[in-house]
Amino acid sequence: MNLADLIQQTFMQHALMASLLVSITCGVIGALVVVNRLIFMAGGIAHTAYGGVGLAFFLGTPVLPTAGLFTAGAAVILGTLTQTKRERTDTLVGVIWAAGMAFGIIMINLTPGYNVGLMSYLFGSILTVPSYDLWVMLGIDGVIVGLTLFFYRDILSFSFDPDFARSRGIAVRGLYFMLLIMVAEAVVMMIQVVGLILVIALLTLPPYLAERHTKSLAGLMVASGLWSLVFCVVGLAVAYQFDLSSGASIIATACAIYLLVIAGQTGWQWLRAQTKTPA
Amino acid sequence: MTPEPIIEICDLAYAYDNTQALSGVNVRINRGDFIAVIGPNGGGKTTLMRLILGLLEPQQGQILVFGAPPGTTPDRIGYVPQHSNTTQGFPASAEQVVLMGLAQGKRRGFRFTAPERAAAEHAMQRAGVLDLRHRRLNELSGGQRQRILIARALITEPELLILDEPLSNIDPYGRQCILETLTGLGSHTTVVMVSHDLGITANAVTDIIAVNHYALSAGGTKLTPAMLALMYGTHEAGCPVHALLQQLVDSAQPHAPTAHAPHEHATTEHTHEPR
Repeated sequence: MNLADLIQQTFMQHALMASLLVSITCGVIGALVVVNRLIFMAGGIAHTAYGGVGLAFFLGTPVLPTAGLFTAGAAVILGTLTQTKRERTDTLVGVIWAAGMAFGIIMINLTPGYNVGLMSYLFGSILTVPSYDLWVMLGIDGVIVGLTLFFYRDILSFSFDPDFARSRGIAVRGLYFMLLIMVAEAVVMMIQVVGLILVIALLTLPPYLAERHTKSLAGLMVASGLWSLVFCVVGLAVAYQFDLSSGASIIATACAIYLLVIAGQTGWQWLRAQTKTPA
Repeated sequence: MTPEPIIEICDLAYAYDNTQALSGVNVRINRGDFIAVIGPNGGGKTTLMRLILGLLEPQQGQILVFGAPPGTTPDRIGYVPQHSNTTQGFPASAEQVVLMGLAQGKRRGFRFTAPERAAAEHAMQRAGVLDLRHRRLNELSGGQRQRILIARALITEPELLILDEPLSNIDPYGRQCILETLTGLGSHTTVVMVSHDLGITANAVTDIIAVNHYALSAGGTKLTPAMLALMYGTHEAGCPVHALLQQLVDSAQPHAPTAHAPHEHATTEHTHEPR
């Protein structure tokens, strides 16, 4: 099948659309996770999402909305606990992480029959995204981008310096919870593409690459989104070409591009240093 | 004319879990004062600043800032936290950091307007960092970054400026630049600055408050033996520590006449004339 024929296929159109929608969220939320140093927290929330997936299988409800509500609830609990015991954040994240996974496994155990679709939520399956999920993703994108634009000034100030933001009368606690819930929804959206185990890589690698060339938080969000789209599309092509798992291919592509860029920059700096050194 | 009180603190106490940070603190700061808050590490200086800002709730006593409870007049207060608190490597230009000073939980919108950018330019001009406006924050030196944070606090033209150790980890030239910025603010702005550097601040301030769980005012720029005893403990005459403390008392004098003549007070109540 040539490229033109391939793009005519509904499953590929859905996959490309999902890549675009996920990249928008990934750019916004990835940038916020990295600048607010919430990577471990985001990892905990991502794994808690498994509890939501298990619950959806058990109840027989749609996975994305059920997991979205479950994970948002877990994020609020995690936020409340970490605000109360700030010095214990890593321990609390570990507890919520494990509890969510355990709950998900128990729910799956209690669900009759063999749930073959479950693996797609662990490792992603961008080639099987149904149109209903695309609409849910579009809705999540709209809410996340809308909230970020509306609260941009407060988010900017809070991310840079929470104490200063509080001294200016900004509701820092409210922003923190809003950010955690947005992370939860982003994670649920991304598990379709890369799976909940690999979500954290797609949230962190694009901002790491983008932050070298950006002078603003908004610029970081846009550049991260573009990097994410590149990873998804190239990863998708690699997966199709070599008949590999799409989620793993996207993350492997992201890691390979990251290493190439780092190597290229290091080599370029070495070359410049060599040409500047007098003979 | 009776000077207008900006900060009034009465019988203030605060504890973290079982550790008493502040107890029985009474302080009054008037409009136009330039106060240096000094004391040992862990003595409660930063806690006092956070209480004044409304970032912490007093457990006992009362604080009034502009005659109202702390945290209710954010537009009249500028705050410069310890710069180690800010996120290192944050993707922002110096101008964007200054514009963050306009965030207040009410003004919305993604883009900053032309008047807001003009206000940022004016604040950066006052802080002497206008030429750095397009530079990334992580390209700047510690002193430059600190002056950017001061410009961020100045963008709303605050009547009260609170600075938490703005001179720490700054080279002598950078310190001098920051102090020149602060002394050049004029009598409209009351300045309260936590500092460890008595020598350099003595030239700029109108009063010193020593904080070590309790607070004592010098009523001028001269450290008193009572303040040193509060900060470093009481030592008998003749012992090496006593000699060192005496040396500190003698040396902590202004190097040159200050713009604001020191006043003779032995209590924590100040009645300075405005600058």
